[in-house]
Amino acid sequence: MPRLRHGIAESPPLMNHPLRATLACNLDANLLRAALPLLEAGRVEAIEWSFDALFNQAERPAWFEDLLQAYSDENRLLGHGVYFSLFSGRWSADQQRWLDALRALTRRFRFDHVTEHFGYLTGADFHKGAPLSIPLTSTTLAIGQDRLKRLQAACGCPVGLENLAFAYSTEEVRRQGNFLHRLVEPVNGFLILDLHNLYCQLQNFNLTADELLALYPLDRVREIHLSGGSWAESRLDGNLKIRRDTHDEAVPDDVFALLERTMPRCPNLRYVVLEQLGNSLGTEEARLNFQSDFERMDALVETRNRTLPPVAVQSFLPASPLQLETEPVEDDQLDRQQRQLSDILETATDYEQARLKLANSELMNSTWEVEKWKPHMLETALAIAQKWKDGFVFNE
Amino acid sequence: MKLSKPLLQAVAVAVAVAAVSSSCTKETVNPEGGKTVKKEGAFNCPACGMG
Repeated sequence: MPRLRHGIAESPPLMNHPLRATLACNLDANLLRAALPLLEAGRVEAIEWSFDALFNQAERPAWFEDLLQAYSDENRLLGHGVYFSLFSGRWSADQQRWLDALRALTRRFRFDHVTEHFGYLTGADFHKGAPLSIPLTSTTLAIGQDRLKRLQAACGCPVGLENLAFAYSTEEVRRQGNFLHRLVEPVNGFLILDLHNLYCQLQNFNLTADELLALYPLDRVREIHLSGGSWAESRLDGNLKIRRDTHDEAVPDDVFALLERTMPRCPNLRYVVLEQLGNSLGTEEARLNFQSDFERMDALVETRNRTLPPVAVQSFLPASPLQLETEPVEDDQLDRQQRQLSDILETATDYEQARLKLANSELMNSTWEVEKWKPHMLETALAIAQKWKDGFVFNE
Repeated sequence: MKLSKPLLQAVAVAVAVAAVSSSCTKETVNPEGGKTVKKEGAFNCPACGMG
């Protein structure tokens, strides 16, 4: 019998599998302007595309299709979903359409794997809002496992989930890694370990990297994300700064340091991805910083590649075809609570009003454990939900 | 990974004319001045940066 660790069979032959320096590459003028010198130099070993950001667009430009196709032909194209909203309590027609669109896309492009985000979108409209956390319960576990099975059945390739930066409480932060592990187990899936998300949690909850990394199934990590973010001042406590995953700045030194210490602990790591939002790459200086971040990441990846031990290749595919329930798993109570919370977060004028509304909501004394939420994190949830409630908007 | 010259040239031309952001951008007037550009079906990966 093959030995199992975190449910992964360890019997395949040992092989060298170099890590690939990867770029989150989407249809954005500033981002592509910043990426062009790296593409021209042949430095970008793979690209990650947020395919569903273009689901509402009738056509993609031919040159962008060609770029995707070039990486797809070499099996170096990664799909990174944004809008599936994995943990919405009710199954929606939009989610089914999302899966149908992904299924159609996989006939056009070959994805080496497809991923989504942990959490549910706060917006009432399926395509709006920001991903925020959920109670870690048997109900949400069942919903998440059901959705991941449907995702795997639609794309036919390995599927994974990304850790979330945001959390309301320290206990939630400590439990996320194991919960992600249990979520992906039935599909033999993997994790994206976003190191800036982890960095946000280290800063906001006063934890050490070793402490937090020990709580993650690192042999399930197939992809690492790097990005920058920003600091927000708490109105509740002028001395308190909240680290937010806004992707609008260069990668901090501390996150590069996290990359160096994490790579050797992830035996099944294949991709290291740099992400930055295009609207923060509007100046030549910002684009040069972005290129410099990519080169620094690439150098660390290459250093790691030189000492990479042979590993047993893990497919991260289900051992046998998945059996899908005819009806998607749903929970009416969770749906009601999510709607109430979204409404509170999007409409409350300040922390105090949000706290009072929560106290009179169905979330009180429930599995959401509102009583344990840190005030500055509820304040941050308000800021995040209100920033993104109308979709992707910026001022020129 | 090496990309073909014609492909790189096509990307360079598209980026130069910024054709990539014209087809899906909806402009509205911001009452406080300035121009608000609402990207419907955003081109970025906003969820990753929605923190």
